[in-house]
Amino acid sequence: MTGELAAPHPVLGAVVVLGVLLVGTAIVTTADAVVADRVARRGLDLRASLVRPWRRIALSLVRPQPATERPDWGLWVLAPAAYVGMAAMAVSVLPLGTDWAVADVRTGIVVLGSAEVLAMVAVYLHGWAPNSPLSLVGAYRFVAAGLSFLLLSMFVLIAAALPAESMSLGRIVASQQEGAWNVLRQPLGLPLFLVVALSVSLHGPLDMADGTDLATGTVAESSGPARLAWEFGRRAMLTAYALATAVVFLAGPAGPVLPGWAWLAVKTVAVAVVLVWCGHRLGRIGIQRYVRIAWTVLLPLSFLHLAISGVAALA
Amino acid sequence: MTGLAVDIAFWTFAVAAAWFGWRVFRTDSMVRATFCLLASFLNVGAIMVLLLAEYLGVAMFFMMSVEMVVMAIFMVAFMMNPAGLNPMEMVHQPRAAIAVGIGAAVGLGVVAVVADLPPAALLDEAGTIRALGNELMGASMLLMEVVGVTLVATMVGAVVLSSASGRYGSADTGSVPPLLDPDDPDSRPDLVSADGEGDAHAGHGGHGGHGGHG
Amino acid sequence: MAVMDRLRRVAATAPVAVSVALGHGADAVLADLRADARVDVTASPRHATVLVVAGHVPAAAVAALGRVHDQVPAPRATVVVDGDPARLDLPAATATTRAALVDELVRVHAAVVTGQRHDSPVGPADNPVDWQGIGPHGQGGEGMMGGVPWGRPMAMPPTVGRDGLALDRLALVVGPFLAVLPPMLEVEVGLQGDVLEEVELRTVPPDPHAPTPPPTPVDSGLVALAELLALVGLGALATTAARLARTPDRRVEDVAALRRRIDRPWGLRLGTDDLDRLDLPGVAPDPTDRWRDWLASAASTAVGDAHHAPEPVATDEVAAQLVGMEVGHAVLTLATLRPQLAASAVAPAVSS
Repeated sequence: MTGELAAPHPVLGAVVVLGVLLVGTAIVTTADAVVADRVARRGLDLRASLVRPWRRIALSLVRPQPATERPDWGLWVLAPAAYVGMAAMAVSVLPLGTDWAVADVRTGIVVLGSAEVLAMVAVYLHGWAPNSPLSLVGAYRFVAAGLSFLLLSMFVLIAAALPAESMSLGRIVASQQEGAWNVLRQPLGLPLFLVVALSVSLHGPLDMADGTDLATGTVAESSGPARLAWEFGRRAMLTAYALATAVVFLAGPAGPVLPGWAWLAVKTVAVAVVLVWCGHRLGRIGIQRYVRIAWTVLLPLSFLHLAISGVAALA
Repeated sequence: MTGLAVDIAFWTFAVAAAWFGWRVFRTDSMVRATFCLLASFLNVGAIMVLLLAEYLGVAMFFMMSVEMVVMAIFMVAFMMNPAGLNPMEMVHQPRAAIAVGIGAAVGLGVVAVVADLPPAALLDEAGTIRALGNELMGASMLLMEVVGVTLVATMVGAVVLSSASGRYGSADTGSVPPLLDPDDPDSRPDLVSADGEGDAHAGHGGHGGHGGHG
Repeated sequence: MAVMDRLRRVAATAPVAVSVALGHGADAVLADLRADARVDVTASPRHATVLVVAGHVPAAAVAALGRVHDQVPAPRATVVVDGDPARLDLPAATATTRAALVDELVRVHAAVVTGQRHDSPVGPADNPVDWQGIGPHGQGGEGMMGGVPWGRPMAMPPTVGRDGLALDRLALVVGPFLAVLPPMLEVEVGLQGDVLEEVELRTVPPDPHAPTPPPTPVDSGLVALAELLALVGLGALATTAARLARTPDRRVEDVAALRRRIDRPWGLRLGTDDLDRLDLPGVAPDPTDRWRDWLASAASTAVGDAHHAPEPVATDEVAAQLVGMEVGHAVLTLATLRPQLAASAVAPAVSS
């Protein structure tokens, strides 16, 4: 059931996935704080920007989680775990070095798609479980967005699989090393996939579930470690999808001189910083406009993208 | 994976699938019931992956998750109890359902135990599978494509027809709600007073409590 | 427990997570808090450590203030700016002045986090869940409909829907302290999914003999802009707008620079361009034009022109325009009417 890349022992693999998510989350958190202070023009005190997010984390750790009336505690606790789990599932099928992945399965892009869909379930349950109206509206809204961006994601990933003639992400990287990087070969794919990355990780202009206009939506009733776990999940998901973008469009570990994992890290951080920067400069789009643009502009574009990629792959 | 690990995984997934399937009917909320069903499907999908039907298993995760989310939304949207957290009974006609369930379980169990199933994959000597593939993807391909496009067009048409805003403005302009009692022209909901009969405990749900939300 | 103590000491140095309960005429305090890097203004009281009460809170809103107070997770503390805690039924609260507010917040926050301060709840200790156990499934009423339980989303709209069923709508009252709404505004909605089917807006007027507040020392248009930016997720730009709002001698170039950063199709307009146009007397129909007006007004006062006070709008006319909107759209639309709604809260307009 595995593809071509070597896989470490499952236990080691789990440790690697968790490590990638933790390091990625730390980098995203730091980048977020630095970019926020730059955008706010808060002077050039880099040390303050770097220290503030960790102090906020300490504050979250000492705060309690109050009860709402008749919440579903089980699902409330499980939802962040499931969301982080889906980020982990996405990372596990991505190549993390020149010749290895935690699990380079033949159905890599389908697993990536499943991670998105199950993330939608996790977000819905996270909004539903506290039994609070604004959280529930955030959950509804994310499902509307989810049903729109899932199709996009599917077509973009299928297009990437065409030149590789395989659904394995290892093969998709190999085909980019043999030919051109997908960002050049399939120029429409990258922006479309960034839309998916921002949407599924609830970030910036496409954060449909946790928007401030709903008093932070699904996370409005969470406090303390529960909220920290959810924020960790969002950033872990951003890491996973920045990594997926680097693998699918920027040939992941490919590059001269440096080892494969280092190239992958450089590309992933670059994508993540772009996404974080978008979050501080682009206003959040309304859900109706989001759905309308997704179905009438982006989805036809993704059809076109698929058709062009198909013809190019045949040629 | 070794044989023992596969066995342990199989039984774990199998028991979990059955347990979640049972929980669907024992829980007291539509949303919980829906996602118990999803958990059951996910465990079945994991068993398929174990059986090396990798694509089918992963596709099961994918398809069933979307289906269950849509189902939860529609159940909550079209029934009472918007958040789905109010306790309610999840079964209808439980006696008949139990009888049918036991019958089906016994029937399938008997087939599984008694039937002479081949222990290993069979070679398709007669070429049946190839013929089926040729039929679906060859001569009947045009038909399949036409059916597919027709279905998509139907779905788009349904969405357009049910859309609240049309080419000439709001779709319900000038429309009147249907009569509650077909023989009584005065029974239009917009004419009936909200304080009328059968509405004794109509209050403002959530009044007060969520005033405190802000 | 040494680890926890260490963690608490670090947490005490974190930015103060503040939930702001705004009364009448509190724009200056709000701008101070948004602009200060030592403070994080939260959108939900659940995320706060300290509740700040600013401006004149009418007696009619004191009960709601108590509920917000109890939603800040314990241990918590309250700081009242230029007001009397006893009048607000918050006896444990600290009173302070606007000038000393942020320093006081840092002190109070450290005391709460290190376990030296804990304001007790002002409401009943346990939820008055008198519905529990009533009815065949303990759901609080007949059949599957339930009763009117405390604080619970329930499908019991006040009127019958167009299909004759009273089932699937969620009736809800929010405000007058919900951080995403303009101050002293209470909104009663019937929600279908996330679309408003019924809307009623109520403002809470000041008490009859309340002292007339002094003219606000900040630019209310820029404060409204900061709130709008925060609502579309641009918190960092919101601090810039808030800083500009409280600068006494604003330069017109600074206003222009802020406008260049946000007035672009991919900036704030990504959030406001698509809002429904409004048909209200004295209000720009286009949502984006409404916040452009604030910037224009800030620029003209920067060169010495007189400030024009916003005209109040009739809340029932605003409510009529909100029907059919998605919740987020309605919240943003109300945010673009913030100066007018604040004016109507003080002196209600009569609908034309």
